[in-house]
Amino acid sequence: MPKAPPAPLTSEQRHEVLQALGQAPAPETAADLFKRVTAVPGLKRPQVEEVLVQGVADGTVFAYPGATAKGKARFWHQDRETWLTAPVRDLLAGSNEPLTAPLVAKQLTLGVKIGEADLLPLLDRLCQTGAVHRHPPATPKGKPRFATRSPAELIPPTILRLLTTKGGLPLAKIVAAVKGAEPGLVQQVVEQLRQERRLFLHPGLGKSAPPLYKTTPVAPLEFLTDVRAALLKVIPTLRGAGVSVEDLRRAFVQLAGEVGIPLGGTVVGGTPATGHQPAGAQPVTFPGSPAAAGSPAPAAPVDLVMLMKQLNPSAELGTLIGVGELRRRAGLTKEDFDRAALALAKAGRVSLHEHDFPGSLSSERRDELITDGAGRYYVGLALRRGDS
Amino acid sequence: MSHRAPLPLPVLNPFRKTIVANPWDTCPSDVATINDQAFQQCLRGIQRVLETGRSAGLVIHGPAGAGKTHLLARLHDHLTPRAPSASGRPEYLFVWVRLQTSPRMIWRAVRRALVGDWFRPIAGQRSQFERILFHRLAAKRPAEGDLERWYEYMLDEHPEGLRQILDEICAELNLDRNTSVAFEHLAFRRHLRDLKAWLGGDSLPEAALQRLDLSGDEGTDEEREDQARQVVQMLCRLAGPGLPVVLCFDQVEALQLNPRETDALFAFGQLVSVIHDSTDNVLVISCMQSSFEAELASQIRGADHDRMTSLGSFSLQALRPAEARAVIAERLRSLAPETLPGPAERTGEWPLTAAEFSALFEPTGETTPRRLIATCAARFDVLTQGPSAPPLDSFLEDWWNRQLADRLAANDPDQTESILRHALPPLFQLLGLGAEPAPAEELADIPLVFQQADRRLGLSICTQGNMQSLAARLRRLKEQWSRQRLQRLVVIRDPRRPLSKTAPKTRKYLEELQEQQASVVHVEPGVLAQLDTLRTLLSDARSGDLAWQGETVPAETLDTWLRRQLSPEVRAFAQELLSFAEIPSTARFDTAIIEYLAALLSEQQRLRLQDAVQSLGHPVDVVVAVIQRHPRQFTLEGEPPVVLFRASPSTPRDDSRDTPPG
Repeated sequence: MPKAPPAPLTSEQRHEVLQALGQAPAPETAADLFKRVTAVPGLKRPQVEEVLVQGVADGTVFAYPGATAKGKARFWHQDRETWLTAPVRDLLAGSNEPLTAPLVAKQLTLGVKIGEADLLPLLDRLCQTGAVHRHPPATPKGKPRFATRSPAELIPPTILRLLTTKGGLPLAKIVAAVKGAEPGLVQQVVEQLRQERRLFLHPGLGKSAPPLYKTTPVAPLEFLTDVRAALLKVIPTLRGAGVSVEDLRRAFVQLAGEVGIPLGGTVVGGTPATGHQPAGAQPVTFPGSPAAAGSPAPAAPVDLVMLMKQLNPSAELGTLIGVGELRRRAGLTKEDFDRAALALAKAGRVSLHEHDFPGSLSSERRDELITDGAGRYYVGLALRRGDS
Repeated sequence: MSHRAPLPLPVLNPFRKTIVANPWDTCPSDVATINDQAFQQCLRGIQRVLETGRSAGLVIHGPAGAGKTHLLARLHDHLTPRAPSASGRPEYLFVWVRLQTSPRMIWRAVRRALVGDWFRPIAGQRSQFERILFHRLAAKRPAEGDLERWYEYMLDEHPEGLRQILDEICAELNLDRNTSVAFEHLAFRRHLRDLKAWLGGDSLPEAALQRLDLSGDEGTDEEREDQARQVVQMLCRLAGPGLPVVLCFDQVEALQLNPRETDALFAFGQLVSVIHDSTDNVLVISCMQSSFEAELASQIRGADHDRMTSLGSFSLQALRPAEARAVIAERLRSLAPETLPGPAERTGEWPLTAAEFSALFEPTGETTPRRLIATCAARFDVLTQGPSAPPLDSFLEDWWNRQLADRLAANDPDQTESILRHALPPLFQLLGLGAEPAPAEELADIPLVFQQADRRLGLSICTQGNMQSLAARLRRLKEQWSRQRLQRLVVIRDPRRPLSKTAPKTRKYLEELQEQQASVVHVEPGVLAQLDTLRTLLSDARSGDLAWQGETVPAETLDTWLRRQLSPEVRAFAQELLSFAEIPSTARFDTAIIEYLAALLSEQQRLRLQDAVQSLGHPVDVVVAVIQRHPRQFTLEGEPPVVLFRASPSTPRDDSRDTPPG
């Protein structure tokens, strides 16, 4: 005689089953749910299946396909779209570049397999609401890509990252490297970044080398290597022939004047004119600096904070910028640079990081560090963040 | 307002503790807003690892005393579970590795620290290993709510079912046999002490290995390092993607006690890269001083540095005045209000005067927490008429004696190799013995090679507890010594791991090495404890964690003090290792007697000389002569019956010490 079907569950028992389903971290099969429901004595699996089918019919339970091609149907208390919206949006927001639907599916870590087909309707809907933007494919045969930022918003960080990694590129290579964007738009963004002094156009070195875009300003010394070599060779000869240092100085002043750099008389007995000042940079005064307190004014027309950000974009996050490279780029005298750095620290804009064993350093290396004149030496600067 | 009047009651100085030595300690007087961004970055890093299923790295750096270990203590406190394991409750695993180790033992140091931390009970409850077990079981067999009760039920009522689930887990994770067996012991709470030792990389006797049904670590130095790497990777895999591992490296500077040891930084870079690429659930946090970070970046491979900083490099900030006031207030909160001056008298800077407080922020406008707290401590002592801060010598002596007492109590032969390999190079340098570390190419079992003038000598530390491993090591040593790449070979033995009476092959190989003019030197526990203290002191100093009155103790001052502090026993040991003097004809005989007596003394602490002599079968005057030739090893005491025991460890320095050379 065939077995009688199990009696229908009471409403309390159905509630227990649905409550257990509500606690599942992801969709699960009727069999898995049945194993977990321990609060209903004598419960049979067909009874659980019946509750789930009924739930699907009245819209309180949502059916999902099996985890594998041959897997059993799964059920959950949330519909696919509600479930996936937040993780997909978070994933795209955390990604540096647009992602295709298969990549989104691969990188989602939800404990269950999500397919491209599951995601495309959701991505389309998010695009319609403006929460996500559609980007063109990276290759001619590629798939559309998605990001929370629009194509125009993504181009600047992409270019800056590219140039930070590669060091320097000609415009054509930048355009080619920014995949899926209109070349004209990329060129506009490059020009915009150059005007904002976040990119710098370096002249090509040699006859056929193209100009390169870099995230760091032009360092004149790189272009004066031949001059330097010639000077290193000729100066000892001249000194050997009895030419005095003062005569050499006069010659340098004259030469500088001929190429449009008036050195004037500032070299003798005073602070020499500082190195390069990037075109367009605004002179910065340092609140609370020794200058303000009546001590000799530092010749510091260089914005060290801006320079830190240019040297390393992650300076904004508090990354330490080593004093050596910053000092070289700033082109200030040692005293001016140290005074400017101490003033910025005192004003609460940067944090100076002290070296605990300066005595262990060579005098050359120690000279490179910032000193406060009281025996303390600092290895670098980090922008202060508003922790408190 | 006067600050000179003593306080009404004698009180403990709440500013006395200036250094957080260990993040497992309770986080003292924490002001959560200070360095909150770096802290949040660590939390975001963990979240990132969880979400992406990929390991990541970040570097935290700052000046000495900026609060790096304090930040780790805050992180540890935040991640400590407050309730039993349960499904759906996020949990994390925490590991803190202080890199006080030789660079060529770096994986072994990580392995030991990881296993030690995962066996620790957390907040008086389950260990991290048990929590891994619960999560693994819950993933396999869905359970609602309290996993621990379910586990206890399975353990008591359905052990076979539990074993079956464990088998399935091990198969799914593709765990090797040893890890699978270890996991099962853990689940059934069997042989936990031996299991911890095995997982940590200790050399276990054959009987213990048989009990555990596990194989011991064999092979050359490099092979053992590789085994340690595999165990670390396997354990991270065992934790699984749902349980992120926060692996914190502290005192990275200590890897490089000798600044010329550039391979130390290279080794660290490689280690982080391997963890980053071969696991999918680890956040590696590397803490170091800012000055060292720049050095590290320039000396390791760019690809390694990229992985180490895949989530960025974050600097800790020194304190601004408002933050400093918050630190002071937090410290004072531990005192009863009646012990403090009334609110009208007490400013936000108290116990400091306004001038003292301002001076701390000159000329940069900021100060480190350590400098602030040390200044407050000194001022508080003045106000409470408490003891004034000790002079530097007394401070160092007190530090040394406390650490030495701890090291003597905790000294364990499994640490001997690690201590000697880390401490000997700086010891030789400190004593000015003219022995420079040299590469040990193709000498796989001789990890320490030194160049002294035009001669090279090698040190091999042979302290395995497992006689089969030891025999294999000695056999390989014979072959390497015969290649004539060295002018002297020293085999270092720990008398607490004597040759077993049932190990004829091991004894034979050792004798053959001595026949070939290799030396055998025994290192006693007292010397080891001093060397362990020495390396800790140097590591703390190198990492900026040795501070007196809020300032890092200068290296030159420390070196001078250490030269005075090291005992004659340590000097004699160093000189014995480096001596190229002719080996006495009695050496082989002496070694055999020492090993035999050490074996007897490992079974009982004191022994009647008469009994020892009878057991040895040599005339009493011959045995006594050997004992007298090795006063650092044994002591004879009393009228007949004369009692033999192990020489007691050296006590702290007294004035009768030898004066240092030079």
